[in-house]
Parts: sequence; structure tokens; C-alpha cells
Amino acid sequence: MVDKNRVLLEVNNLKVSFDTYAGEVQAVRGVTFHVNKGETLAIVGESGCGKSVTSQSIMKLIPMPPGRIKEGSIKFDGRELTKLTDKQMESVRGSEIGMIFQDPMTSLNPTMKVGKQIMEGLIKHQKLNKKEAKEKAIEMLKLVGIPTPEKRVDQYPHEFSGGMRQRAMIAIALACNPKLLIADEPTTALDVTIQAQILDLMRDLQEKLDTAIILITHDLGVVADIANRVAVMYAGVIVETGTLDEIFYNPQHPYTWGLLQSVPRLDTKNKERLVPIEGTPPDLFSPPKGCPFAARCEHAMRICKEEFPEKTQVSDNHYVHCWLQHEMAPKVENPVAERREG
Amino acid sequence: MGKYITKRLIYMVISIWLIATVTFFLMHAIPGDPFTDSKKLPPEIMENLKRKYNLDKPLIVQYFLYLKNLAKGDLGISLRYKNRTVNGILFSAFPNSAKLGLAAVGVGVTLGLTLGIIAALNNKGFFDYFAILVAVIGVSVPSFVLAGMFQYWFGVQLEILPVAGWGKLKFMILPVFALGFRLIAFQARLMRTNMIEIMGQDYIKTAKAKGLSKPAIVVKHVIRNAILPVITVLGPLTAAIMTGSFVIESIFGIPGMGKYFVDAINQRDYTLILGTTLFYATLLIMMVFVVDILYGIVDPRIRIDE
Amino acid sequence: MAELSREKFEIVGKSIKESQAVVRPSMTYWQDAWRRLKANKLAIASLIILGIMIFMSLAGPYMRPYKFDEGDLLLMNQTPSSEYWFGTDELGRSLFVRCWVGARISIFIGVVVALLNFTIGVIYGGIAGYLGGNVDNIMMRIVDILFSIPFLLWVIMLMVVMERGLGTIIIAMAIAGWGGTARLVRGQVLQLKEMEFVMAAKTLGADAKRIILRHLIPNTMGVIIVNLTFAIPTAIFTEAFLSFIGLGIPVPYASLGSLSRDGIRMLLVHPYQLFFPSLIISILMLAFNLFGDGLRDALDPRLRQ
Repeated sequence: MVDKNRVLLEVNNLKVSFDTYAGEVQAVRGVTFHVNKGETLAIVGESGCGKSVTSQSIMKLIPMPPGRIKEGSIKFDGRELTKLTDKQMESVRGSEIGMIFQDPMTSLNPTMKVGKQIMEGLIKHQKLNKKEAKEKAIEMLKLVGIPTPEKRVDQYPHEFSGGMRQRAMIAIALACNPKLLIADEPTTALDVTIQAQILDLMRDLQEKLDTAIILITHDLGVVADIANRVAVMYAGVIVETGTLDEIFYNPQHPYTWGLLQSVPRLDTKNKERLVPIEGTPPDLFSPPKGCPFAARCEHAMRICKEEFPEKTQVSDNHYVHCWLQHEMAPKVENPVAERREG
Repeated sequence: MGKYITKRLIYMVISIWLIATVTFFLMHAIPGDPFTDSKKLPPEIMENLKRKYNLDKPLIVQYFLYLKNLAKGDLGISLRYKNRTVNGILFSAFPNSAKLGLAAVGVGVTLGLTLGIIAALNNKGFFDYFAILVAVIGVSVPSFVLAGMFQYWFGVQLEILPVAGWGKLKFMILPVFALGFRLIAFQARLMRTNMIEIMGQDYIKTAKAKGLSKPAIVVKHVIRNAILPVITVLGPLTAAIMTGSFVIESIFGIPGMGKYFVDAINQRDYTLILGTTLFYATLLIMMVFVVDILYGIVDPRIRIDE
Repeated sequence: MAELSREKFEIVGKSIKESQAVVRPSMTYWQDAWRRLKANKLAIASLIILGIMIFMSLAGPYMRPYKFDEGDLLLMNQTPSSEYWFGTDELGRSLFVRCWVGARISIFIGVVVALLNFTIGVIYGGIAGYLGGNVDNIMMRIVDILFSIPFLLWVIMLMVVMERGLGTIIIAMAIAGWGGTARLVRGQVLQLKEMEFVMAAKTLGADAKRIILRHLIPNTMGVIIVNLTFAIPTAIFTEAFLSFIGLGIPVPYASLGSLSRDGIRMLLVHPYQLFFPSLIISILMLAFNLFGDGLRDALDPRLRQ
């Protein structure tokens, strides 16, 4: 259940659209979720499903126009972010919510010293003077595990390796000790060995600083590593949310099944074949009126193509939007829950 | 860096030697000698003249004499302006050209960059279309047409600025704008495109996510990155300005190198043509060199890559 | 919920084909480029203006019963009238006829010079880029050194030495102007050589000629065509410049540059004599530049949607 005292961020029925020359693209079509203090929520989905738009809407970083928040509320630490002015938003960004992006190669300003890029936020939000900010920047670089930070602080991004740049990005995002860190595919562009290091670092820092994390990813391996709860997103809507265990071991939505079956796992005993999800997500120019996954779902029923399913509660924290939950629906074997026993 | 500069210096010397050689032989490939078409001179005076200018020696000897003088910085004597050395003419004319050229570059860069920045920040607004209009006119209307129009409007019709002349500030305004307009247009266009491109970069999103204000992002992140490529084109653009000054100086009657150059061409004053060409070439090669070094200093990415 | 009937819960399964039925039609590179060019109104307007200019430069001189090199000395410096549409010059020649004859020469010079630069540049740059290694190194050093001196200085030097005339102007500009194209083509070729599809063609056993003809040229074409489009106004500009400093088309022939030069001399007394030739040259430059911009946007593969 949602405990009001522990909730840090509450997103309610968020709808975001982009007005393009050809018409309206409904990137996010009514998304509801919350993040508790100090926990990690993973938002999973294929590319183009609206997960990045959702996260950038929280920070109001989507370009407006063409983007606009059509409906819904984003409540952060008691404040309604959708109602804040640009100036008020500036004091939230970087200070209370930090953000890191997918590609560390392009996310740092190539002509500004790394230290200076960390200092900027500190000077703005914590009113430090240059000297104090620089000391804090060195401290941050040390915290994210960059060796000889006194030297590194005066270097430019091109003198850093990819993994080090992502560490620097994390240092920038966490410099002002935000309550929430939004990590948009933080490991996608990195080597596998570096990925693990970055995830370890994020977990460590979360413990040290007690930061809540929203982790946007398409990689279920990353999710298993770090998330407390998971929201599965598809075509601009969240189709299933639950705790990590619930999603991994008792998923209810056929799309979640598909995602899990398409990922290799080390813990499966019998040799199973990976099952890809056939087809591609719908074009959000004209999203289908029923369940968006119906076209790719082998269990699709007539109703699925006509109406979007209501939210059904599976357990305390586990919700799903699927007609299979309806009492009249035929019973379908859950391929993933089975697998766990096998 | 040191190795790079040495390499560039060697190329510069080769370039200058090459143009000196090519121009020398081109000039001497012209049938007859420079005195053929002068008023009938008694043979002995002709001989004296030829001896004076070393024209009686074999071509290859003349070439080496020329190179030797060149190495000392001596460009010889003008054939038409009696008793004036090419060096003397260039030194009297160069300050005027430099003043005009620098003013045009200064005006062009300042106004161009400002216009480009305003246009980019005002994307698809009034100033944006204004900047695009200026850019389009700037690349389409030849500078001599612009010069003519300026003379006609401001000089003849409105009578607020002198049509031609040199010496005081008011004489400079029209030629500086006629010469610098293309630069304004070019820089505005380049800066606008760069700014718009940079504003779409990931690191601008990072800066926004840090909570920086829009003006801070524009000044510290956008403009600095957008201005760098503008510096690289400054060398070639200065070259264009200087060659453009040939006509502008003639039109406005400015006693600069351009005017002497055009006059020398029309009067077939070969030593002066030769000297001016070399002077221009050297100046421009050095300019491009300085701009490249400057670029290496302002862009941190260049230093390591070298 | 009451209306839900049991039959609605019958499993019908996947319908992948239907869901993806609406696929945007696939287009070749050139079709797509042409579609985008057509959508650019400014570029199309420029193309139409260019068409009109070329037509006028061919037909204009025959629209009036005058010759470009014969004037009526009794009718000097006439302001524009129903008889002399653009007025007459100081020798009583029809400016209308002279302007269009001049435009013809200017456009001719522009196109021929651009094509010559293009040919030399493509051959030189293509060879340097394709062979690579030391050959490329030496060839490009030569270009670096030659073209460290501005184009215009080379043209002026050559024109000082050569006899003035249409042919020599074209030759001088062709000799002096191919450096940019050569660098561009070489860069493109080098870049493409490293790309996977060339590698793929090589592993499939395609020979050099085939790689050049079928892969390299079509893929470098976009950038090179745009370069060519911009080379034409540059050449027209240069010719005008040469005419202006007295190294252009000799009298009694005219180009837009020489007409502008004559116009400026008469500016204070007869401003219309500058107005018409400079208007034509400005429109011509504008149209070429805007069309070139449109073409560049249309041919840029990164902008394909």
C-alpha cells in the first residue's frame, strides 16, 4: 500500500504529447506510479515506449513546444511540479532531483573542465564560493571512485574514459545531495564490465546518501541487480508494477512474460530457448484504442482490441492492466512462474 | 605543439617560395619586356634601364637575384611610379588597408555573431527571419554593388556621409560596411546554425538538469561551444575581406594596397604586381597560421589530439 | 462490466501483420531527396527564377531590335523608356540587350568553370582518396601548399599574364579553383572506404571499378552536387570581380560584372545604369544560393525521415 509518509514522488495519470507537423504523438498516455524515499524503482520497456519522456517530464526537460504535459500531476516531496514556474523548477533540478543520461560521451560539455561542471550546480544551489565548490567537487570525484581527483578536477571530458565520464556524470547529479536520482539508461552505452561497476557505485551511494532512484532501462539484468520495485511500460502506459520478486517470479502481464523470456538467465536449470517478442510496438501517432500489446499477444482476446483493461490488484504492491485477470477470461498458463519451479 | 608549429612554419616558407617562383616566371613569360610599350626611348637609355633592373642578365640569374632580394625583404622598384620602391609603396599603403580591413573584420565579427546569437535564441521569431534576410543578402549581393548602393543612398540621396575619400572616421563608415557586410552575413548564419545545433546536444540537457538558468546555459555552455568553429573560418574570411578590399578601395578612392594593386594591374606594373601579390599571400598564410594556433589554444580538445 | 459477454473473451491471438499494415512507402535516396526538395518552397521558387533567368539570357537579346555592341550616339544615357526598357549606356547601346547578353556570358562562365573545377577536383581527389597512403599524402600536401594562397590571387596572376578573353578567364578560374573540390572528394572517399558496405562489397568480390562506380560515386554524389551548385555563383562572382578590376571580359562584350563596373562609374549621374545589371546579378546569386541550400538539405542523408 502507498504509505503517504514514505512517498517521495507521486505521478498520477500523466499524459505527455508532442505536436509534430503530422499531428499529435501521444508519447505518454496516462502513467501512474510512485517512488518511496530511499528506494529504487526501475521503469522497464522497449525503446520508444515513453519511459524517457516520463522521466524527463518529471524534470520538465522535454522541449516545450513541441512537447506538452496534457494532463496529470507530478507530486514531489509535497509540491506539485507541473504547477511550478521555470524559475522554481530551476531550484528543484540538480538540487532536489539529479539526473544522469545514457551516453556519457555526449552528456558532458567537451570544452569545460569536469570540475567546473560539477561546481556549477554547487555554486548555484548551495551558494558556495569557488574555492569551497572546488573542494566539494574533488570530494565528489573521490566519492564516485575517480583516482587522483585533485588532478582530474582540472581535466576535460576527453581526457576521461567512458566509465569515468559516467562516474563524473553521477558526481554532477549527486553533488547537491538530491533526494531523487533519475538515471536514464545509465549503463547502456558502457562496456559490460564497466556496467557492473557503475551499478555497484549507484547502489553504494544510495546507501550512503539515502537517495531514491528511478532507473530507466530496457535491460532486465540491470533491473535484477539494483531495483526494489519495477514498473513495466509499454506504448506510453504502465502495464504492470510490483516488487522485484513479484515481477520476476510472478509476472501477470503477457508483455512482462515476453520480456523475461527474451533475456538469458543463469539460474534456469533446464535449457530453455530464448523467446523473442514478435512484431514492434504500435505507432504512437494513432495508438490502438484497446490494449496496445494486443497485436503482439498470443493470448489476445476480442475485448483486448476494444477496451483498455482496468487496473487489477494482484497483491499489496502488485498491479496489472490485463484482461486475462478478468473473471470471464480463460485461464492461461503463466510461462515464467512455471519456469521458476522447474 | 612545438613540432606542429615547426611543421607549419616549413610549409609556410614552401608556400611563399612557390608563389614567388610561379609569379616570377609568369611575369617573365609575358612577351617583350616592361619597357617595350613605353614611349620610344633612345637605345642607350633602354640599355641603362635594363641594366638597372638586371633585365640584361639570363632569366635564371634574375630569378636568384630576385630570391636573394626577397630573402632580405626587398621587393624591388616600381616600374611606373618613378623612383618609388615597391616596399615604399606597400608601407605607405598598408596601414590604410589594415585599418579598413581590421575595422571590417571587427564590425563583421561583432555584428555577425551578435545577430547570429539573437537569431538562434529567437528561433523562428522576428530577429531570426531578419538575420536570415541579412545572411541571404550578404551572400547574394556583390560587395561592389553594395558599395555603389551605399554611395548612392547615404552619399548622394541622404547626403549624410561622404561618397569617397579617406582620413577621417566619417570616410570609413561606408567602405567598412560595404566590405564587412558579407562577413556579417556569413558569421550570423554560421553562428545561428551552430547555436541551434549545440542547443540540441546532450550536455545542454545535463546543464539544464543541474538547474542552471537559461542565460547561464546560453553564455557558459552554448555560446562558447558554438563560437569555436567560427574561429576556424576567420582565417579564410579575413583573406576574403582583404581581396574584397581591392574593389572597395578603388570605389571609395582609398589609398590602400588594393587600389595600388588594381592600378598596377591596369598599368602592367609588373614589379608592383609581383610584390603586392607576394605581400598579400604572405600576410594571408600567416593569418591562417595564427588563427589555427589560436584555435588550438581556445579548444581544449585540440591540444591533446595533436 | 455487465455488458461484457463471454464471447469477447475468446482468444484470437496475435495479429502482427494487421498492426503493421500501415507502413510508410519506401523510397530510394533520390526519390526521397526530390520529395524533400519539392517540399522546400524557397528552393523551388529559386529553381523557377533560375529557369527564367536562363531563358532571358538566351532569348532576352532578341526581344529588342538592337545589337549589344552597336549604339546610337544620339541616344546616349537614355533613362528607361518603352523603347529602351533598361535605358541606354554612354555609347547609346540598349542596356536591356546588354544586360541579358552579359547574363548569358556570366552564367556560361559560372557553369563551365564549376564543371571544370568539379571534373579536375573529382579526378584528383578521387585518386588521392582511393589510393591513400603516401600517394595521398603527397598529393594532398601539394594541394595544401597551392591553395594556401587565395583563389583570387591565382586568378589575378594568371589573368595578368594571359590575353584577356572568355577562354582565358575560364582557364584561369579552372586552374585556380579545383582545390576545394579535390579536398572534399578525397575526404568523402576516405570516409566511405572505411564504411562497412564497401567492406561488404569487397568481401563479396566486387572489383575496384565496380566499387567506385556503384558504391563510392553514388554515395559521394550528394555532397559533390551541392558543392557544384555553390561553385556556380562563386564563379559568377569571381568573374564579376575580375571585370571590376579590369581583368574580365574585354569590350565590347559584356558580363554582369563589367556592366556593374560601368554602372558604378556613372552612378552619380545615371544610377539606373548600375541598378539593372546589379539587380540581375543579385537575383541570380540569390537564386543559386537558395537553391543550393535547398539541395543541400534535400540531399543530406542524415535528414532522411
